[in-house]
Amino acid sequence: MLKNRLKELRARHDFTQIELAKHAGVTRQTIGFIEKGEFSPSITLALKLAHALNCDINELFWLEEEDNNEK
Amino acid sequence: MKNDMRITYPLWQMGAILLMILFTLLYGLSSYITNSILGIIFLLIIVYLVLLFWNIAKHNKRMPNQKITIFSWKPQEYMDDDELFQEITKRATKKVYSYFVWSIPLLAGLSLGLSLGTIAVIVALLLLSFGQYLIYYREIRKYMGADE
Repeated sequence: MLKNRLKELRARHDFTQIELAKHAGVTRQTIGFIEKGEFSPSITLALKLAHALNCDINELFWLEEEDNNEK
Repeated sequence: MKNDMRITYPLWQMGAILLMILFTLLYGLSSYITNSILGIIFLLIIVYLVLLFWNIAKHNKRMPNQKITIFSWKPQEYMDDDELFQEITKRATKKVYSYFVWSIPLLAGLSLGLSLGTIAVIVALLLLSFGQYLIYYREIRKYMGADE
């Protein structure tokens, strides 16, 4: 399962969902659904979000299995 | 999303289908049709059309980038705004597809087995169509309702 830190990083950048959505060229609903983990974005959108939040894509998204392996 | 008519558009289609079912049933039972009944049906159709076009005009004014037009082959309830909406539309249309995969052969079998008359088959087809919009609407609401 794809996990993310979108909400946390968005808050760190002081972006609203609407502002981040504009940066990534999607709707506010898409940002909300990704944050809730109800929608997995495409690689293109994940890269756009990482770019908008000025971070590495791996910092923003990771697979739950990988997370468990680290622990 | 609350004011997005693309979400409620299937309900309008369901309303039109109910009117068609009513008309078909009355046509089938033609001995009961009187001029006053016909008048009521046409009045209902006119009220429906006025309300539909009024709501479409309101939607198009509010959302000029996602206009609804009834003169298009593309179902107006499809939402392609971005990849989330495409995914939701895909999930809903997949459910509708699964529904038709089973319901059409079942109806064909019932029509043959029970020797259903023309009116009964037409009403059954209209009911299938009603079910299609109901499934689509419920699936879309599952996602969009949670967003409101």
